[in-house]
Order: sequence, then C-alpha cells, then structure tokens
Amino acid sequence: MNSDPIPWTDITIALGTVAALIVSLISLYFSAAAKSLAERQEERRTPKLIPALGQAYVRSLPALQVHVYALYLTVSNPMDSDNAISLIDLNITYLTQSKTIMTVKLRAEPSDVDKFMHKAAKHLAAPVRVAAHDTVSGWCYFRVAADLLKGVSIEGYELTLTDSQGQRSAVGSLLIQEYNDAL
Amino acid sequence: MMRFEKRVFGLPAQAFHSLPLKIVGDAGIASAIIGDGRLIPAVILDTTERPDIAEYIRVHRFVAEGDVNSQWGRPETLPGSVVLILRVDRPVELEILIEFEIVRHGVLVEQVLMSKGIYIQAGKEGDRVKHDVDAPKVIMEIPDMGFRPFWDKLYFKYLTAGMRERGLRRSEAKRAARALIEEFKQFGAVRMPTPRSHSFTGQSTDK
Repeated sequence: MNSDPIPWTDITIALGTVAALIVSLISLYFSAAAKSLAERQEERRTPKLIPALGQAYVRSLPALQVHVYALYLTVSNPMDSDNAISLIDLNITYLTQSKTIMTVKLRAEPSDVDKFMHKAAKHLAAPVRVAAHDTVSGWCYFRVAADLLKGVSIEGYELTLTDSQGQRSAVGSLLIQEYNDAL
Repeated sequence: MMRFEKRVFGLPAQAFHSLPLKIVGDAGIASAIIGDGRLIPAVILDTTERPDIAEYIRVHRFVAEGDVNSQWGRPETLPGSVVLILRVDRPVELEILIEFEIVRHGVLVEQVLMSKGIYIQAGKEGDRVKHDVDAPKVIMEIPDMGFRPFWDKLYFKYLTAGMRERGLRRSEAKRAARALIEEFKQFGAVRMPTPRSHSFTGQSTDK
C-alpha cells in the first residue's frame, strides 16, 4: 500500500491552528471573567441608597393646628461611590369624602425638631452626604396642616428618598404611633 | 434653553393620559405682591369629572411649595384649540390638561404667555370667579418654552378667518386681526404698582 506522507507543513499548520484555538479559548475565558468583574464593579458604582425605618410617631398640636410626624430613618449606601440624600418626602395616601384616592408629598421640616425634643437624639435633614459603604441615621420631621387631613381617611404612609442622581428609594407600610409626653 | 420644534405642538391623542378640562369661567388677577404686579389670568375648570384636581387645589392651600412642568400642545382631536399640559409633581402627582379654544379663549392664552403664569380654580358650569373670590386657587408659573411664535401665527390665522366670516375682505380681516391682537397685548401689559415701583423717599442714613 502506497500512501503519500502528510507534508510537515500541514502538520505544523494544524498544530498551530489548535494552539491558536487553545490560546483564543483561554483569552475568551479571561475576557469573560474580566467583563464580569467590570460589570460587578460598575454595578457597585451605580448609586443606590437603602432606607430603613425605625420608630415613627405623630403628634397633634392643636394650638398650631398641625400634626407633626417624626420618623427615625437609617440610610445606608452599599455602593462604591459616594452619594447624598437631596430630598426626604413623606407621602400620605388618603381617601377623600368623595372617595378619591390621593397621595400628598410633604417635604421634611427641620424647624419642627423642638416638637419632639427629647426624642430627637439626632436630626437627619437633607441634603446630607452618605459616603460609600457608610450609613447615616436620624429623626426626620414632617408638618401637616390639620385641615389638610380633616375628614379624610388615611390609607397609608410611604417615605421616599431622592439622591443626588435623582434616584428614588422608598420605605412603605409605615405604622405610625400617636405620640404623648409619657413615651 | 429648551425649545420645541413646531411639530411638537401638534400632539396625537395618545400623548395625553387624561381628557382636557373645559374652562367654565375666567378673570384676571393683578396683585402688587405676586408676579411684579402683572395681570395673571384665572380660569375656573370644570372638575366635575376630576375630583382629584379639586382636591389638589384644596391641598395646595396647606402646602406652601409645589412643582409643575408645563407644555403647550395642539391635539389632533381638537383642531380649534390649544391645550396647556400641566404635570404636577408636588404636593400631589397628577396631570392637568386645560383646553383653550383659540378664538374664544385666545386672549387668555395671550395673557398666560405675557404674564408667564396662570391661576387655576376648581368648579363647574356656571361658576364665576366673582362669585367667590376667596375660593382656593393655585398659581402656576408657565414659561414660554418657544410656543410664542407658533401661537402668534395660529392666533392671527384664526382671528383673520373669524373676521372673514363676518364679511370682511382678506386685507381688512388681516388688518383688523392685527389691531385686535395689538389691543389685547396693550391691555395685558397693565401692571399693578409694586412696592419696588416707588422710589424711596427721605435721606439714607447709610454712611
């Protein structure tokens, strides 16, 4: 049987091709790993604040015709980049007498600290910086005119934070306790 | 500065999330302490189908601050009207669309553009501002945002057409429309004297 020997050049080319394929696969593996790492790093740089609520009180002040809400808020920044809280809003959802569901947004009022003085260990007022991997906490105060909520049925509360990038995060289902001086 | 192209003003019906509200009453309010004494139009909107808007106006009395974005539009479904779209973000999130019939309410649009503001009040057919001057109102700032040139052409076209229908020749109708618009502008430019419009009297004691 006479068979032509395979030319050494073909063998070299075949080996070279296999080697190139192996190098490519290794390179692909490392590229995918690097991409995944870069994505994870990028994700950690995406601004995100995580709010959590501690205690929540409401105090009625008939002399001033207002209700003042005090909420103890903890905000953590698990990301790799610094952030800031630019707005803190209390959203009150209520049902009017004409059965219309409304949600009113109230901005935190730093001037109402004195209404809860002995509970106000630390005041959290926007704007406030939250460094990367840091947490801030404190009491937030909201003032509502008594006439605004007169005759309506409150359906729920939600606290929303807006960060300096315009991202919003919220804490819902707040159970608010009536405040009295004995507390 | 943000400017709209002409085509933006011709809006398809899908651009709106709610129906435009009819104006059932209007007036002008000039105050020495608001808007540098400019005459700001006040409109009563028929909110019988939109109790949320009536509630928003009530709530606003108790919340000092508010945020609103505005845009003028001309919906395809309302060829003889322009619509002011108000997207309120605070204290309540809602959308309010106000329909201005070009011929009937053109003077109000002129006044909104001149004073850069509008008062809105909730009401129903038959209500008038003078019936209850203390009724809750919300004042909103309405920037021009490039609508003025579009409006000037549109208003002139509709007023001219109206004059033609009354029997005027084309050139006469154009002249009359121009004169009428000029008159509206002069009327709208009236201002209340503000505390800043008076010069201080007496000698300054500052050294």
